[in-house]
Parts: sequence; C-alpha cells; structure tokens
Amino acid sequence: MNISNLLTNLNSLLFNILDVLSILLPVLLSVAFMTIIERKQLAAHQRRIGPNTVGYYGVLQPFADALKLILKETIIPSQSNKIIFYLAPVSTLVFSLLGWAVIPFGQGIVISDLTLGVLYTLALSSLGVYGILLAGWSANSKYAFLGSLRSTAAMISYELILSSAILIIILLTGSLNYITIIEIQQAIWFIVPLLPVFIFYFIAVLAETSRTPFDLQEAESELVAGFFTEHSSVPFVFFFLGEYSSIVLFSCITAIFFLGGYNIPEIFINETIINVQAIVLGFKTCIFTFFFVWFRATLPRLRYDQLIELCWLNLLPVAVAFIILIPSILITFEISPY
Amino acid sequence: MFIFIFVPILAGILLALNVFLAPHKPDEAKVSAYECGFLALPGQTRNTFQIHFMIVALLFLIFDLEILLLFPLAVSLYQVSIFGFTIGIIFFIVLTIGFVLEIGSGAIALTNFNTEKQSNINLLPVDPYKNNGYS
Amino acid sequence: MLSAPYRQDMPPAGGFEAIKYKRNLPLRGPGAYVILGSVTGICAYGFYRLGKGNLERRELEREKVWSRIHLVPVLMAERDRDNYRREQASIAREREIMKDVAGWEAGKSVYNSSKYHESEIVFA
Repeated sequence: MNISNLLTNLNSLLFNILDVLSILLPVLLSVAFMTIIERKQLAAHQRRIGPNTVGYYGVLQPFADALKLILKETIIPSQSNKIIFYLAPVSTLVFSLLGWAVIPFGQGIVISDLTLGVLYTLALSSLGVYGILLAGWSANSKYAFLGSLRSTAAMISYELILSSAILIIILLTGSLNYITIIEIQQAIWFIVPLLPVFIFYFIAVLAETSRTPFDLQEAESELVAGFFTEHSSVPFVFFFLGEYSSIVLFSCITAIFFLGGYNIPEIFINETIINVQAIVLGFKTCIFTFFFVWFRATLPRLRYDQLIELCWLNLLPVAVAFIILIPSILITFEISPY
Repeated sequence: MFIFIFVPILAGILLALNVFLAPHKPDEAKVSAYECGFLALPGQTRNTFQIHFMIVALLFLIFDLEILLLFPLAVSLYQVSIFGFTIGIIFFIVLTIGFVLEIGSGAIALTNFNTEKQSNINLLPVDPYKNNGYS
Repeated sequence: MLSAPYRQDMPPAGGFEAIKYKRNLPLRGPGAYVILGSVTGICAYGFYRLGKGNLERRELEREKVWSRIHLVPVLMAERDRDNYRREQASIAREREIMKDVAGWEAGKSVYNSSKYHESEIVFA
C-alpha cells in the first residue's frame, strides 16, 4: 500500500466523519434545545416563567442537566439482566438518531439519498419498539414491565395508522424517495389535498413518540416512570435523548410529508452561501414541535382501553377508507403520478 | 453509511464518560427493585400479563403486513391503473371481513371481556341502572 | 329614632332592567356540515393543483423519453463509427504482428460464411 493510497483512504474517512458530524451535532443540539423549548413553552401556557437561571434566559439548562446526569451514579438493579439493561437505552438512542440519515435538508444535502427512504424510516420506527420492550423486560421491575407492555401495545397499534397515512402519501407521489416527495409538492403542499389524513397522521405520530394524550408509559400516578423506572444517569439520558430526537425527527418528517419540506416560492431560491432551504425546513419543523408541546399543555391523558379502541375502532377504519378513496380519485381523474 | 458505525460509538463514549466520572457505591437499598413504601415481593416482578397484549401484537402483524403489501401498488399506480386498483380493492374486502370478525370476537375489547357469561351473576345488590320504583 | 324621613323603596326611574336570562356560551365554532363542506372544498382544490402538477410531471417525463428516442440513431451511428475505427486498427495491429507467418490472412472471419456479424469483442 503506497502513501498516496493511504492518504486517499484517510481523506474519504475524514470526509465521512465530517459528513456525519455535520448532521449529528446540529441534531443533538436541536434535541437539547427541544427540552428547554418544551419547558419554556409549557411554562408560557401556564403563565409561569420556567427555567431562567442557567445561562441567559435559561438557554443552557439542558446542558447543565446532561452534565449532571453524566456525573450521576448508574444504579444497576441486582435482579436485572445486565447486558439487556444497557442494550435497551443504547438501541433506543441509536435507532432514533439513525433516522436522520435519510432526511434531506436541502437540494442534495442528505447523508444518503436512499430510493426507499420512507421504508427506511418506517423500519427504524418499528425497531424503536425493541428498546422499550427490552428495557421493560430486563429491569425486572413490576412498573417497568407493565409500562413497557402498555407502550409497546400502543406503539405497534398506532404504527398501523402511521404507515397507512404514509401509504396515502406514497399513492400521491409514486415514489419512496424523500427528495421526489418534496419535488412533487412544488405543485401543492400535501396538507391541502390530504387535510383529514394529516389529522390522523399527526395523532399517530403523537402516539408513536408517546406524547401526551397517549403517554401511558409515563403515567406517573400509576406506573412510576413507565419502562425506564429502573434506569438512571446515562441510560436514562439515552432514553430521554432518544425520545426527544424522535420528536424532532417526526416533526421534520411531517414537515417533509405535508408542508413541502424545503420548498419555498422560487424567487427566494438563490445560489449564495446561505442555504435558505435548510432554514425553511427548520422553520416548518418548529411549527410541529410547537404542536407537540401545545398538545401536552392542553390535552388530558387517555385511559389505556380508550387508547386501544381509538386506534382500532375509530382511526383504522378511517385510514382504510382513505386508502380506498384517494386512489379512486387519482384513477377517476387520471392524475396518478408517473 | 458511516453513521451506522458512528452513532453506536457516540453512545459508547457517553457510557464510558459515565463509568470514569461518576461514583459507584452500590448498597442493598439502591440495587433492589423499585417499590413504593414496602420491599419488592420476589416473584411479582415478572407477573403474568393479560393475553390482550399478545392479541394486539398478532393483529398488528397481520394489518401491518397488509399495509406494507400495498406499497408496491402505491408506487406503480400509474402503470397498473384500474386493474391493479381492482385487485387492491378485492384484497381490502377480504381483510375488512377479517377485521369485522376480529372486532366481533372482542379481540380488542379490553374491558367487558366476557359480558354474556357474567351477566347472570349480578354482583351489585341493586342494579343502579334499573328503575327500582323509587324515583 | 328615625333620623331620616320615611321613604318608600321604589324601582329606579324607567323600571328595572330586563333579566339577563340569555346564556353566554362560548362560541362553539362552525357546525358539522360547514366543516365537512369546507374540508371537502379545500381537498378538492388541493387535488386540482396536485393533478395539474402530476400532469406536468408526466409531460416532462414524456418529453425526456422522446428526446432520448430521437437521440438513439445519432448515438448508434457514433457507436458504429467508433467500432469500425477500432476494428480496422486492430486488424492493422494483427497484420503487423503476424507479418512473418506465411498464409496468414489478417482480419479473416472465424465463421465459414460471408454473412456480416457485428463484432462481439470490444476492441481496445
């Protein structure tokens, strides 16, 4: 192996590392700020101030929290399965961060432009269930076990609604590639033709990320903290990061599916150093993260049987009806995508 | 796809930081299973659970498969056009019959599990919903 | 002792104001049919725009396919020309190499017929 070959390999490795870091660092920062946004916004909804001590306006609060949690003692319950106990939070974090690999932040600004990007996202959101299941089983605690059972059942039920809503979007685009989906929305943002679909899609997203009307894993009054009752310090940070990363990720995906991703009116598109497209996508993502917190501030928690019945008896028939209706419209007016 | 290697490494770094920086002094109260107010009963931590969760998982398997089987139709709707759509409709009719059967058998009814069988035994001395001649 | 003179308590001038029996309920928003109609309208507009967009995409795709179809003869001619040049060069090289061998016919077909075969070998 000669020296220039080695240098080329090193170069491509460095490029890969920079490629991944340039996506992951902003993602982790946005996840950290998502926590402070949530606390600030909840405070605003309830006419409180919220965290305002650490840093200016309380902005550095999440970093202080993270540092504190890293310096805390990890308690491993003596009766737990040690390996799975560590594997569960790591898998939750990994699967929710890997979802960012296919998100386009602008024309061609994506780690890997998969042809089957949407299927990749669906697969990762299915794999997210394993973290919860393993955590509940390995901790060998009553509360963790019940919490993991509940949230697993809820997540897999609502995944049906999510994937049928995504199926409807795929019907309109005829492609599983994110960039094609965004390009087709240059005609119209999908929230306009698919307004009812958007509503049950967002309900499913709320349940998938275990947010408030559906956060039965965290029903503090009955199950102490759900499936991560026994997890402390860094494993807990992993669950926390994974949860908030999937919130931001799903907001981003919702923005791509329904608000046209990085699409803006053409007069604003320019070739200068400032990429307006990524900022536009970030703004649209912020709208949905605001929705997430707004619902948490507004809605009361559902009972578990109501949750399951809402999914199977109300939302699933509606979703199936729309899966029949939308292609009927497309075929009747002969406007199915090429 | 370097990210597949990088993200687990990131998680490992955080775990290692915790191992090196944090104290580690376990005692009996810390490492026992969490319980509120009394000691955790051994053997109660992995309880039997309701069959309902298993049934929901089974139903999910079937219906998720159904939706994933429709993805090829969605991608090629222009090519297969009305014929493919008709096949899709037939597929859906079969599944809807299955769905109706499933709801009818009470597979997802978490409460009121065997209402017919229990209806003879009235647990309450007075039926609160019946007009007992007072009002 | 009564310090003030006796006065009959009478209703105010112009009588009492009317009893407010009207309930001040908060506004409940538009009715079901209004919502259904407006959502249907929005969706119809959306599908109209979407359909126009999809037809435009289809037209662009058709244009691309036709431009390729029209390009095919040019590309084929170019390829044939290139192949012929490479084949002649190869024959010349062969003649140069095999000039000492008596009775060697450079570029002779391996088939025992005079039918034209497009070369299956890519000449470098």
